[in-house]
Amino acid sequence: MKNPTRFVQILSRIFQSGVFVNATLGVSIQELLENQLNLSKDFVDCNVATVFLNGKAVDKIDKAMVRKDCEIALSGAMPGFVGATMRRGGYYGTMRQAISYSDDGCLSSENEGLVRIKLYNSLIDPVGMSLAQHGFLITQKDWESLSGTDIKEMPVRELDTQNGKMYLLKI
Amino acid sequence: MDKILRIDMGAEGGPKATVMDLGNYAGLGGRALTSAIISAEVPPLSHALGKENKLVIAPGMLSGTIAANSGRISIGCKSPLTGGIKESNAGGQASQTLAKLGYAAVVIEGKPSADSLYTIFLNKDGVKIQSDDSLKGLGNYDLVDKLQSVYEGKPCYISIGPAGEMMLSAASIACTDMECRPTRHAGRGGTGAVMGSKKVKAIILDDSGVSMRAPKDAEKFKEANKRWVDGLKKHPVTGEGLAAYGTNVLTNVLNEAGGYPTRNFSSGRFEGHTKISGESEAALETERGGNPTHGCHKGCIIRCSGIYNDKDGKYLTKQPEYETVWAHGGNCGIDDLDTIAMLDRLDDDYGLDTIEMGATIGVAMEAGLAKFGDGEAAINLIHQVGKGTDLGRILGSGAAVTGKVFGVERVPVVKGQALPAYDPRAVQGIGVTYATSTMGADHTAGYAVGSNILGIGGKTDPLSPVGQVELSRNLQIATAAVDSTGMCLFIAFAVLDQPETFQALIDMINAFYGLSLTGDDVAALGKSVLENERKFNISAGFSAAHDRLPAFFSNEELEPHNVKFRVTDQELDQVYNW
Repeated sequence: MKNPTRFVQILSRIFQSGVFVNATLGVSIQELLENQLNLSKDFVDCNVATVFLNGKAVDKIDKAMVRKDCEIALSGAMPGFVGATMRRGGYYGTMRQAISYSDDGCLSSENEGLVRIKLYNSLIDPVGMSLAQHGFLITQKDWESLSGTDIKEMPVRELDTQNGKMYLLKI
Repeated sequence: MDKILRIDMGAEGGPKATVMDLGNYAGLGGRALTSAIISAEVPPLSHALGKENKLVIAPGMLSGTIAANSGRISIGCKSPLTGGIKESNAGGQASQTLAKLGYAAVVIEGKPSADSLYTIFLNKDGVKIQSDDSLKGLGNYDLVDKLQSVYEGKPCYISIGPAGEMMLSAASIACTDMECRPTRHAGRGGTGAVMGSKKVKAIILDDSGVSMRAPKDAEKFKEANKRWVDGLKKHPVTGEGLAAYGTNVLTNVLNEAGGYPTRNFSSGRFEGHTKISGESEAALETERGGNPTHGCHKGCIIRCSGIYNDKDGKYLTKQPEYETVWAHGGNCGIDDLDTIAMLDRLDDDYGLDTIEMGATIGVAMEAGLAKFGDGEAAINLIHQVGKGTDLGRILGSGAAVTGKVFGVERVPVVKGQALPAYDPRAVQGIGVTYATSTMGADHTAGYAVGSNILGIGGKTDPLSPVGQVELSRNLQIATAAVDSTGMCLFIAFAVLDQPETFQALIDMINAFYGLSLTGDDVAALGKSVLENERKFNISAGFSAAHDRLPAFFSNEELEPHNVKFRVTDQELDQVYNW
């Protein structure tokens, strides 16, 4: 597909529900974003304001570890009081303490594995573009939902994974 | 804004208008003024729909000026929904217009003995009150269309729909937006029912021939407003995020956090969230020729609203905001934006609070009146309210009444008012605010300026396991103060992070009124507002037992994090100890 912006636009809803990336495990979320997905430190510091690991709000992305089958959600700065409480390292973090992430210290024995990444709001375009260049997998259901779009015309690799049949998209 | 207009709807010989000086109310605006008048003049044990209750409509202190985002209007009364004091605020054009006409407040008092409906017309020449029974039963959209053919120029309108005429406790008061559509509502607490009890169908505000309000120190005011605008524009939320996606940008994030109340608060995640997210809503609006970036009043630079068109590209409603999309969406198991937009349109037209009605339909669905996810049934239930059927009058009385009538245990209300779109088991701090707010469950009650900036009550360690009570208290104080300025509450995002932007706000007030307020004075104002409100509620029969969340939040675990509300009663009782 020649137009990467259009590619990301079409995939917007799928980015929101999550795509899969083959990642190095046992590293921090910060390392995943900067070293594997090639996002600059400045971009991460300034724009990736809200981060969830397995649904729990993360305060320190350099301490939250990437493990096999984990789910990472990334969002820009959120409005509202509750939006402010979700922000990483934010002043109001105590108000969502019940769902704040704390590391359990367990390490994965595997070096590589699939992790699910969800993108929201202002991060869909820029991080979606990085993911598109890195390559990512989507489920068969999501692949079928793209029927009628330009992406269906793209050459893709079909893979059998532990999560079932998946499709590798890369531009 | 140096006068108060009092209209006695029950005066002998028909409604009588009197213009008075501000007297003891000088220096107050917005919520500070509505709550001061209600607490001083309305007997706390009076009936909310009786002649002793008053409806107070007050622009903010900076409304009618060039200050950006200063177009919030406060509407106060004793609430028929909660039985306590109420301040509900709205955007739209009314606040700017009423302030430019010079009124610090319009106080509607008494109750006509006859059944006629009235309109109140205000312009630079004075007040005209007329009875007009041809307006009976009109929805807000038809009402405004009809009035526009009567009144020349470009007035704005404050009105009620059929729900207000029926005096239903979930009835709202509509204010028209820049396109003269009745889309901006003082939704919470049944203010529309009080306006209906006074038999006032519409207030028409015409500011033809009137200038913007002039500050005492024009240069200082202009300079502070520039810093204010710069601060709002440079912040990532007020400058970009809200404009791009609106408040519904919160859907995905709250869902991810497991704090998105789903199917009447029975779980914290909704599988259909991406279909109704702000991201998907904005894309759909653009695709249909609507607009995801639109202000609700002149002078708004955040522009978090939008225009939602139907499948044929015709205007259907304004962009439904987060709480509405949640209330009629995930809370009812509905994942179709067109259905949610239609429900929003109907709420606006009948004159209903979208949060209360979404929560009520969620309770009704739990009771078996309809299945979760059945959008058509939800639309039908709102029509029942609009038509005033027996069932509709029950639903239009809110979630608490509906839960009682149909024997539902899980009824998400505090002081009779439905909880908004954040589950307090996931975000326990907001649970403290829901429980203890003078307004009943209200997400905006503890919303605004960072206590770290104001320094109210000292600093709190954000990672401390205690401190949620302190934070909630400080936020409620700060919010009460900001609600008095007429500023849109969304300015909170910028002043939360940028002390210099908060200072610009104080500087604007000082330059406008020739004052020298400090952050401490603002905090004192917020405290005095809450003290007035609290005093009224205690006299109306409220006690510590009313500052509690429903028991199911402490008894039922919320998926996916399996959390319960853990803040103790003893801690909740400390909120008003300052």
